[in-house]
Amino acid sequence: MAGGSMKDIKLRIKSIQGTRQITKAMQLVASSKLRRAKERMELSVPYSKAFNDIIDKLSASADRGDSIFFTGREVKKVCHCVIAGDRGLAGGYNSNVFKEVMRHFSEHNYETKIFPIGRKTLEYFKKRFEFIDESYATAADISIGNCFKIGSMLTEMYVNGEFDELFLTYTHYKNVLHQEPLTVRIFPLPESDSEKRTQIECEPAFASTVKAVMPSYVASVIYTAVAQSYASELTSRQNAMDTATSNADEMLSELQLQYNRARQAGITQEITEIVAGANS
Amino acid sequence: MSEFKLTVVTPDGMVYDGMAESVIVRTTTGNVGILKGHAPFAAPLTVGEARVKIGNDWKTAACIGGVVSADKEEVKIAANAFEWADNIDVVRAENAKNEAEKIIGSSSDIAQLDKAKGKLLRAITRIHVANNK
Repeated sequence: MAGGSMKDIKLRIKSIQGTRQITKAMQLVASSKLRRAKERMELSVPYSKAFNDIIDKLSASADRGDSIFFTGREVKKVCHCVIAGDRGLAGGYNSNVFKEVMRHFSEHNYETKIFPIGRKTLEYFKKRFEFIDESYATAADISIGNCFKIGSMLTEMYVNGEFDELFLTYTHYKNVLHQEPLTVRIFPLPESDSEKRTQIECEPAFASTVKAVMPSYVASVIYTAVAQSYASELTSRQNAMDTATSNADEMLSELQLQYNRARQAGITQEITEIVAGANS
Repeated sequence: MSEFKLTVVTPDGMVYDGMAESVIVRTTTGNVGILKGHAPFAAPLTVGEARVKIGNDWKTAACIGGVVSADKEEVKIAANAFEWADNIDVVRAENAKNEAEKIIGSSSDIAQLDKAKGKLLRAITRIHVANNK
């Protein structure tokens, strides 16, 4: 009798249907959250662009040598801010970020402390690195207010010499299919592209102006990075769950076929038995 | 009078992108007025009223923190918050003011007092701007 295998197949179908429901639900949740996340990402773009322009202009100033934010100092200690997700099941999103960070570490070997954003970052680096502040572990909840606090804190730590370089790794949202983990240096600020130095009038003096502007600048960088990373995470999860759902569909149709065959085989066998019994 | 290009941006998006004749903002060292053809200039902003002359009208706004930068062609304001007088939620500002005053009246923790002081200043600025359109 094929009944035993029929029951097994039925059970598998049930369990796959259950999984499919979950992946489908996760996909829908991700895509509805994604709309808001993308909107936030797009709104944050002009702000960070304006800040970048202003910093670029300050960086081209003839006074740039006055400010520790431009000149930098000998690198001994490094702070690395890593933005990843709070949850898994998002395809390669989290592991790509960590791979990028480890690649960066293999090239720059300094005493490093991690500033984690996202619960996965916290879990991944817990055993290996020292953390700076663990209170911003939930990436999805980070508001612009949080970013201003982070900005002031990191700026102050840099001024106080608690680290000499500040890096940031986040996921750059290119489009629906491409999200790319990137590492950028925040402090010291990059050289300006334009060769010629201009005179820019500052109120108060250049160094104080730069110092006063820095917390907001760092906040704008981190806010944009968080918005991009979060949109990338949701996109990545949506794609992964979409694939999982269609895989489940494929398996289900395969199993349904097997089930029907087994059922048919059972019926055929029964008929054969009945016929054989009647003939004898 | 001639016009220059003014952009005002906040983390919540673009607030103004267009021509203006004059802009007055509060920097950490005091109010600064900017007209067309200003020398390259940059200054950090503090909490205060901002005034912008668009066409023949002066518009006021509550401007909170950030930075202003100017050159010959263009003035950029990247503010932590920038709310036109018409858009200010006065009820919310009043509530924030009362809360902050309560904390200042009762707390003795310096960090908390500092925070409340900032909150009170922002609330008072918002109320002031909203009431003096």
